[in-house]
Amino acid sequence: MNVNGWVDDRLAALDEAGEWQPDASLARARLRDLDRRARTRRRWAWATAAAACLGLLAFIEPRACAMPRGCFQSATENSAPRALAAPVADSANPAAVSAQIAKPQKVAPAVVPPVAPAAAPKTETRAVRNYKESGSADAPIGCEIYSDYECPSCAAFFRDTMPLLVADYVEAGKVRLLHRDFPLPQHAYAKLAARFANAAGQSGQYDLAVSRLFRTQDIWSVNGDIEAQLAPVLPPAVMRKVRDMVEHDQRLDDTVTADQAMGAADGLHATPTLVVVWKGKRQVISPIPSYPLLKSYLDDLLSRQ
Amino acid sequence: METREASFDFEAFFHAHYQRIARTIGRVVGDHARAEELAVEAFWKLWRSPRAQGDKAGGWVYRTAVRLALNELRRRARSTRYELLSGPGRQSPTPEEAHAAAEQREQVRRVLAALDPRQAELLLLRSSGLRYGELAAAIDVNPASVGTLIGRAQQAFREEYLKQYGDTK
Repeated sequence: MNVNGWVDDRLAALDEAGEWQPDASLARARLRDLDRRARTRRRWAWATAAAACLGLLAFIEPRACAMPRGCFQSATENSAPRALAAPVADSANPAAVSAQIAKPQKVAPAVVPPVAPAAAPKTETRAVRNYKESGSADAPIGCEIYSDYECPSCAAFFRDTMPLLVADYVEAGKVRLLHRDFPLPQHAYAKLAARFANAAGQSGQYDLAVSRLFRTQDIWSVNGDIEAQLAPVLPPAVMRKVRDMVEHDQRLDDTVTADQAMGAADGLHATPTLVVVWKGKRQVISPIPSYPLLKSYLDDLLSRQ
Repeated sequence: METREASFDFEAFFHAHYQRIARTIGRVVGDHARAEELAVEAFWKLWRSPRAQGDKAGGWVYRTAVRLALNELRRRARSTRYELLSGPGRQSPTPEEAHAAAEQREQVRRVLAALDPRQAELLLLRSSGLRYGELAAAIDVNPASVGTLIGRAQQAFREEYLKQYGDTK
């Protein structure tokens, strides 16, 4: 029995007598159509995924600290969380804008004599008002940084972004920088660290203390021994004064309280947060984007002067 | 659509193989319009699989086409509509001959649908004119074993055919 031939005979029955010419051009058109639809679907999928990610970032409030995008205030301590970037202050309501702009001046450390920052702005035309400010008072843009000394993202911001911001904009007289304290309740030693920094600021060592606090955050945040980290870098006389102020000066928390009130008015819920003040409008930016993106934003504002 | 691989000319490959692929599918499903749809699907799968594009694209797309055709055949076998879709190939000279040819085709298709998919693929690829080397590439086996596999597939086909229809000839 020739199975090979037998099977071939049966399979040959599948061949039909008619002359059928498959239409290749029509098939090619179908393929192009499939490809076009697939591309459209992919675009929609990417757009949906991106929107979902942004939505998650904007609306999910993390409960723990050490978040890669910043530390968030617990729900019981603040109102609803804000989106990535809050809208620009209502320009249609000049009174509200003016009121908001006026607030920083109220909360600036009134008890502190003006102390010039370590690196004086190159194009400064008027002195800054206090140790928490740096840059030209006539700078077209104000950048207010809300931070918590125990927040890892704040430390990263001060380590990586702040030097670039200072070099490119503050020292060039384009940006006036203001440091605001926003110690979060879940950080046990953040408020104490702010007291140390402000005490150092009143002795003219604010930048040095802030830098040291952020760099040694991992160490003092374990046991709260902030003094041990500041002592090696501050002059002994200054350190003594700082220690005394932290222990006894009740007014040291005034600026922190004022900054927190300002943060609440800005709708803050996380650190670090940047508030850009431009032409009387306050733009809350949280989380703070990468430096290239921030730079392009500031450059855009400057180009519109 | 642009060609993704510089070394693989999808456009030329499509025009070189489309009609043969469509006919191969058509032999199995017996429905020209459906065969063309499945042929497009086979090429679409090739387009979306850059790793399949290259020297082995021919075998890959034939195997895919036959697999799609057999899937269609099995789907129809499970469907009550099967008898209504017995194919357009009723173009024989007389109604009796047309009926006999159509019946023969349907018998072969039922047998193929009942076979092990790999054996059915092998038989269909072979009857579509693929050489041993092409067959080996298509089903990803050693060329030396193709003959043995075909022999087993033919034996399985015959047994299944006899089981369903008896020794008619």
